[in-house]
Amino acid sequence: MTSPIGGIGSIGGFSGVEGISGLGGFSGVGGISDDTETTTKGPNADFAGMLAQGLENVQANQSKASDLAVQVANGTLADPAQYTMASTEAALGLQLTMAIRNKAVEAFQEIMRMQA
Amino acid sequence: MSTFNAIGVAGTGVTVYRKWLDAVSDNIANINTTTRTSENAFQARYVEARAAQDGNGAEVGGIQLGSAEGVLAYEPDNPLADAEGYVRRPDIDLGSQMAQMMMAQRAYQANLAVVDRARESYSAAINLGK
Amino acid sequence: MFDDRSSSALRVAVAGLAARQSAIANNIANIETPGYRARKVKFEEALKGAMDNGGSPSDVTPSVLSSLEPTRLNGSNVNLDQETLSHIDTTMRYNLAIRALDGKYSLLREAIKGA
Repeated sequence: MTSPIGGIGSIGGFSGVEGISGLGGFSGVGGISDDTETTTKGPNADFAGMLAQGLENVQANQSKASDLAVQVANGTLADPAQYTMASTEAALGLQLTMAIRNKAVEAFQEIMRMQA
Repeated sequence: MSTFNAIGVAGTGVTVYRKWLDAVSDNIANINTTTRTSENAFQARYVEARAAQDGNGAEVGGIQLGSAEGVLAYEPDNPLADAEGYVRRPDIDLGSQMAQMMMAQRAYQANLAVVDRARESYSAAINLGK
Repeated sequence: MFDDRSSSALRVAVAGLAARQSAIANNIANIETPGYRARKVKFEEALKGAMDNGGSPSDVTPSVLSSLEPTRLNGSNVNLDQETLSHIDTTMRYNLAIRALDGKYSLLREAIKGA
């Protein structure tokens, strides 16, 4: 029982954020967000960069698979495995992207529920 | 170089050895073909196999003909015999033709075996990731 | 949604390969028909040419040619071994082209499905 109370206590500290309605409190929030930014900026940027790079990779895989599909069509493809590998990689890349997106949406919804 | 190249390459081998088998069967069919001494004997056909000029497989480079002289045989009863009783017979050795037939047959089968294995491998490649 | 270049090319290829399969079936059926000329279906070069020149692949149609192979004794010029091998080759090309189209459709399905 004591630890939840402690948690409430910390939430009490959080109530300072409600000062957001008051202009004066805003600077305090600004200070908090500055603090959190300095501690989380690195990982956040890395995650965004990783996501962007991942999407670029997925895009590159898909266009590679498309080029090889054209070679399948006009019979110039030298090795059929090259196409099936590229195609599988493109499909898995898209599935992974969708999985990450779904997890992100889930996490967002979780946060929304917390607020309610 | 096409997508399923191994099958095309083995196919050129199949064609070469089919032609070789055709030539051997032609030679054996004509092994007793007699002619007048004033004419040429039946000339055995020999298939000349060589590497394909485009680098993919084998091809028939040409057909070499055996001796036109053949061998003279004394057969006075043969209606084709000349005044001395001789006819011309082709110079074809049945033993050698049978040996060639076995070589051509085995090579034909070997090429078809290559096609079978290549088909299995290519099927695996097509079904990769499924 | 389905008219990107590679999908169009694959559809042309599937149609061409199906035409080739039917030509092979015809050739084998007529192996003993006197005077029959084996049919060959060509589309790959036309497809490659159209795509290299930036043209539309869907304008390509397969063309049927008569084989110039020498005739056999019965006047037909069908080679059973070549037709059989061509059948194997065409079947695998067909499978690969279908697999490629299937891959395209799966990507779309995955993207539509979302969750």
